[in-house]
Amino acid sequence: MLLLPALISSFAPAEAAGFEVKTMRAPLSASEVERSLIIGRGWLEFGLGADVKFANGYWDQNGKAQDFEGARWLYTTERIGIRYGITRRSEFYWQVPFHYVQLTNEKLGTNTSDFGLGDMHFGYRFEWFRKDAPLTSVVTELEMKVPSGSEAPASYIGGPNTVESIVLSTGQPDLYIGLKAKQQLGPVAISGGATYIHRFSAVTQFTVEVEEYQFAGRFRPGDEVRVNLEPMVQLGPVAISAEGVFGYRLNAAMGTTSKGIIPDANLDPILGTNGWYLDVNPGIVAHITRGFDVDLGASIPIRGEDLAFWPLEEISPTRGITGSATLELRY
Amino acid sequence: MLRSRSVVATLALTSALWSGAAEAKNVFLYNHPDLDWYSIETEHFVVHYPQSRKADSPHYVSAEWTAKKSAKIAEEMYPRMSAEFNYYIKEKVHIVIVDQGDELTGFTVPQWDWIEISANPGVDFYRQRGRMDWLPDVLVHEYAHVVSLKAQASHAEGAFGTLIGGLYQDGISNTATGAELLIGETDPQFWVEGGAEYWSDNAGYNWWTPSRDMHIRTTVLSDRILNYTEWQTQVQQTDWGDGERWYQEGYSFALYLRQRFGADTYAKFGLRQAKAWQFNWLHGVEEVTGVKAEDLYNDWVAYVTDKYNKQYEAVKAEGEVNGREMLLTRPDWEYADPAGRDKWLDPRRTRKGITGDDMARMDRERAQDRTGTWSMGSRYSDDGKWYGSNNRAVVSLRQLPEEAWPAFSGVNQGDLGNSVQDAYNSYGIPNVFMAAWDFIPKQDAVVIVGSESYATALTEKGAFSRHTGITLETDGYDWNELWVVPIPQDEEKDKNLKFQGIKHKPREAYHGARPIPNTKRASEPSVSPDGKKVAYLEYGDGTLNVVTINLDGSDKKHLTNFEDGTWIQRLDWSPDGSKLVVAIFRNFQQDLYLMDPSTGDVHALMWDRWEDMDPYWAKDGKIYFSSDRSGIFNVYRYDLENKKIEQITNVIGGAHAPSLTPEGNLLFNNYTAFGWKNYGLSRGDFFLKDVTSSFNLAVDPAVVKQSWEFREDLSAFKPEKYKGDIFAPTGIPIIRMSNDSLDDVSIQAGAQVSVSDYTEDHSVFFYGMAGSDMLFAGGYTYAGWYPTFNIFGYHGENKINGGYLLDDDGNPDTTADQANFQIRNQQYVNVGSLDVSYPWNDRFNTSLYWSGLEYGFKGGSDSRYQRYMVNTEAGLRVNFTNIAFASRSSNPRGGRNVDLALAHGFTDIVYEPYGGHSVDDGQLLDNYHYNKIEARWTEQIPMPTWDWLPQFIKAAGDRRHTIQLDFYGGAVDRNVDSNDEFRGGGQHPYYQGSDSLRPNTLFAGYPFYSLSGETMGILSVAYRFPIRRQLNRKIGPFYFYDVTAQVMGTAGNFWSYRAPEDESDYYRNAFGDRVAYREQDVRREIPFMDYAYKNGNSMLYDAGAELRVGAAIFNNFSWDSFFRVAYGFNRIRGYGDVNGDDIQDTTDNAIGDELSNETEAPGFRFYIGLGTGW
Repeated sequence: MLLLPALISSFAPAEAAGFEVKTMRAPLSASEVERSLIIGRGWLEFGLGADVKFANGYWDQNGKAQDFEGARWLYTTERIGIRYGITRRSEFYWQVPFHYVQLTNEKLGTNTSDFGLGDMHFGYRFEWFRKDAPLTSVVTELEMKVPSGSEAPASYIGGPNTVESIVLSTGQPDLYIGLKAKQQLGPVAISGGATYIHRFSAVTQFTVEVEEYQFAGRFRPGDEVRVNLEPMVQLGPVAISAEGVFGYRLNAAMGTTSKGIIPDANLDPILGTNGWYLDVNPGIVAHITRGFDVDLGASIPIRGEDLAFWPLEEISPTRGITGSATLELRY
Repeated sequence: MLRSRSVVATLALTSALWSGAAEAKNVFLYNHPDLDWYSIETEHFVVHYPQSRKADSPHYVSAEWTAKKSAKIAEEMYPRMSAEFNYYIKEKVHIVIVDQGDELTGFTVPQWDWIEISANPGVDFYRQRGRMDWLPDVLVHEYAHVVSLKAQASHAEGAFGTLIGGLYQDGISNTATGAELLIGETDPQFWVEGGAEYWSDNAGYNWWTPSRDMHIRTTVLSDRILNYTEWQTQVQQTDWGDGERWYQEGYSFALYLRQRFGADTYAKFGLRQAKAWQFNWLHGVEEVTGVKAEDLYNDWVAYVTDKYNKQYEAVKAEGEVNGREMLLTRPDWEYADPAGRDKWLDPRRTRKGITGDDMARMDRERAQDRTGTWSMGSRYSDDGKWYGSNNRAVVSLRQLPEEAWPAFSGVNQGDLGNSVQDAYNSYGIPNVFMAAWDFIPKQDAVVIVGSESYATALTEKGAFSRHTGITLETDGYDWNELWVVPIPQDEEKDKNLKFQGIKHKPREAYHGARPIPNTKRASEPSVSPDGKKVAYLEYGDGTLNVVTINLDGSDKKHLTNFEDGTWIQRLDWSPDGSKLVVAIFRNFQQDLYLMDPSTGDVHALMWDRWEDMDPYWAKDGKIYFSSDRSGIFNVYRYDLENKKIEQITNVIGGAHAPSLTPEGNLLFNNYTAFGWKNYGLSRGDFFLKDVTSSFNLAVDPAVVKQSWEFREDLSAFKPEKYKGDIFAPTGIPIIRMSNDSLDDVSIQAGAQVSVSDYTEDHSVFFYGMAGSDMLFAGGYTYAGWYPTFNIFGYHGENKINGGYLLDDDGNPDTTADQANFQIRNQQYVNVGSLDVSYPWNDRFNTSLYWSGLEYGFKGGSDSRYQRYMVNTEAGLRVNFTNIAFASRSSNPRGGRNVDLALAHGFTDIVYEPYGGHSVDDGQLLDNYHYNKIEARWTEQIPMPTWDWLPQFIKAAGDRRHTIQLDFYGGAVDRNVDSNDEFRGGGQHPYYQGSDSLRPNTLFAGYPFYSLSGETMGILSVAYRFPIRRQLNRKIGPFYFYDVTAQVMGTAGNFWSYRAPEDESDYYRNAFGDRVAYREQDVRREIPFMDYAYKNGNSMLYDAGAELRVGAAIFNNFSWDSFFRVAYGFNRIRGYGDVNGDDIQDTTDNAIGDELSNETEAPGFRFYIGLGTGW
């Protein structure tokens, strides 16, 4: 009985002293084109965003656009992004996605939806070179994608249209190694880079290995190379950009687990799952205050080749335009 | 048959993580809810201070003056200190004044913009640092830390660094290798602490006093200076004086560099680090100065060595009058012949096999330390019967005539073949550290400075507490107070000096010991010549005042009423009792005054720039005192009649706290590189140099009056009620790797974040790691009432790879029909708990707790997690320990830890595929209540060194060999699900914490958590011995300080319940498990009588050895590492994947119970921890 009064009486309104701006915090330009590829030391940025994609089709193995037969695919991502500038030259970053997904098949009369945590990404950016006014920034990224989402389809029978729950994870981790650069030229900036994505194998709950009749198969999506180029122009507090992304993926592989720390010896490539894609991502960044930006963007698939791993959007995206909006809150 | 037993490991692991302990505040064990807090806000600071809610509280506290003064100092120093680094801090820095205790404290956490200091400087601050106001000294020092560490930081203030670590386990820990590395700031200790002193000096708040010079001078002349590597690292430097050496050597080095390179040199070192993180901070020193750091160090050593050698030569030229240490026998270092010299200097002096000059040097230093390091206030009783001194918080009394002391007689009794060390009555009476005490004239009794808790140590009533360590402190205050302690009148000892020694039992209590009422926060007692009154100093709000009181606590009289930080060091009565002589420090004047004990009227005896203190009024009417007149503290005497001052000693160390024996010999405390020592000087050897002209005895009463009446105006600083300001939230980014199976390596990233308010009433932490395995924990602590409340929550999820061995015919001997199938499962656990704890004293803590838990799993065919069980438990935990929490030794010695837990729990098995039941030990379990008792006892026993023991045992004791016994036992009063049973098996500190490296690791020779049962009884024995102490080697960023080895063995077992064996008493369920028709047919195994059917053994045994390396990395972070190998002698069986090959054999075993068909053979297990601690 004594506990409650004590707790209540002690909850005097706390002062926000702890959130005062620190002297050591790096300066941050109001202009997007002048900003480095890393966030400054001492800055903590929360990005709250959402992506919405309506897809009515896919790319076939020959890169030809095909429509679903009576099916609609709504794939949304609700993102929490965190960036923290830990030193003058480096930052940590996390991306925590949640997905709401709905699959409607009028032909079969099914309507399946799911919501849950997706696969998180976290990484470290180190700035090798930096020059201000005009800005030149060169960074290396080291990033992991981890299979934190649900990978249990709950049912193997009947195919994608009859699964009880939608898989939200690839079930295996990726390692991203990237080199990126940004060069400012007055109100214009160009950034671009290349990233190599190594995909590790893993036993996944959604993979059924049929030759050895395993309960679960070991699966490894193909490694990928991704290059991008993004021109940007600053118009007052607004920066407008258009990013082009080209990617090429190797064949995926599947099988049973072999001995050792890298247990891939028994994996067989799934021929035809390699392919390339080209997306264009226009975007706008509006600088509201020093602690608040709004990002709006879209991702438009131009060409692609199907990997046949639907519904794993992360490695086998459907064909559709994705719209996105992000609020960046900085402290 | 498929079973999901692999989930158990995660559940058990989780249980280990959330067993929270009571959290104490940074300085105080108690929460002091009787205090209100107030704040004074200025432009750059907020000062918080406590004040008692009740004005009539027996422990009334108010630090208002200290807070106002601090606010004034802080704003004055802000621009000066900021200019040192051109770093002007925008965020407000919070200064918390504490005054709940009588001890000194002062620290800062720059990232939290937090400085905490005590209003009370304690009893020996001034002796170490010299005469400067406590508040400017400590406050500017701490703020220098804030500015310098912020200005030089390469990391953002929100993070203390980045923690990288991982644990890879081969199978289920045939080998377990963990590593942990915190990458943070790399600043060396001499720069951090010495720099704070130096920048305080540059800012005008500090100066190189004779006290500081005394310290560094004795250190240099005795060749005890910290070497180049020692002075960089702050972890685990424990030799006497090392802590102060960092400060003063670093300060001295900075002064040297100021002369050579300029005043901003030290700051430049840090600003170089601020540009980019440096693997080796000292590289910046070379960049700034163009000289290698080690060369600079050597140059500085040569400089100070030359300086102090010249000073010593000057003293010797004048005639060194040093006296002798008050020892009854000749110490080894005072050798009288070449053989003695060779013995003392022999590099193999005390140890075999481990030699070397460094080791021998350290042994010699320790030998000199052993005669006393913190000795103060030596004196003889007026009747010449008793000699006493306060040695490390114990007044050591010896009934010994003066002539027995070589310091006075010039004769070493040992040289005459006499042994007098133990020849006379000797007693040890607890006393506050370094505080004065006094004999009561004409009585065999003393007045000491004790505390409110001294009843435990001194009285018969304290016997229970003394023997058990249990006292019941309820208000959290243990202030100093004066005690009268009669000296026991035991049997008369032989006074013949040739007597060969009498052993005395430690005293149980002092009959008649009693506190003097109304003397809380008292110090420096001096008893009047008639033995009726005591004059002493009373503390309050950073200030001392002179008080007299009768020995029975009556007629208390305040002779001064300062409220402004005035400090007083010693007072004494005139031989006729009509006057007091008092050493008062006020407005930067430290002088002696005469005071009328009836009126408080004062008269300054001198008014000069020396530090004149420690007055002693001798029977001959002369006042003996200590002064730094010559730059070195010496003893002087002032003849009041002819106004003549003579120098009595001429030492190279520092002579303090004089008193005279009845024969007129001098006792004093001399500062050496080996501590504060008791010294004696025969009256015939007094220096007797007339130095009257050096002192200003022509005191202008008007000047004194003006100073005396000066009151600083602090009215501009207005207090407001404390609003609960919080620290800047901080955390540590964490990246870690672990594996759930051989091929399932998980990398996780996350952070630990914590935040608290400045009075530490409320604190919150969050810990989150995300990857394919996830762990999120959060907690809230409320420490604003008498007990402390902890609320804790935890959510964990794991994905686990594995395999199932299916056997068509169910016969494990036929393998052609067996097949392995790989599988992946997920499991989760949620935990919530509430803990209410109270520390009854610093050794005894109790807590009541409640916890709730749910746990479940999900396979590929499950759309959602399936809950397996829910559990709730409530109970009482009791802990007794006399092992210092902060002790980080790899060879802890002489301590005891006892844990006792009583709990009542309820479990409900709710897993639908099993019909909401589980089968354990032949019993169908649905929901059940249980009671549980658990006890753990650890005893650390130093190898003894008693004379009558064989030499090899004594040698082991001398070399700090230690035996450790651990008993761990427990019982649950009924058969329970396997998740509620006790668990055992090798642990790794990467997950389990350093406690898991104690010898009783629940069977390190067996797989991690492989053993279980409702009854547990385990005994471990370990023998631990140092391989190398004080290694003190730096390799790259690693600093290695010791290596310790240990051999150990464990015996015991976990016993459970057994299913009935008569076929008529059971049936088999769908999984083939036996299930008893009647509960009473499930029989409990009798510990030590039955074999444990779950692991197949009556008793389990293991043996092992380990090597521990004490180390630090980047100067600031512990990096303790170990290698352990253990051998389990028994073949065991158990649940799931017993043999650790990641494949669970699901074949029904021949016994027909729920245990696996697999067994684990006897074998070795290896544990490696790199930087994981212990």
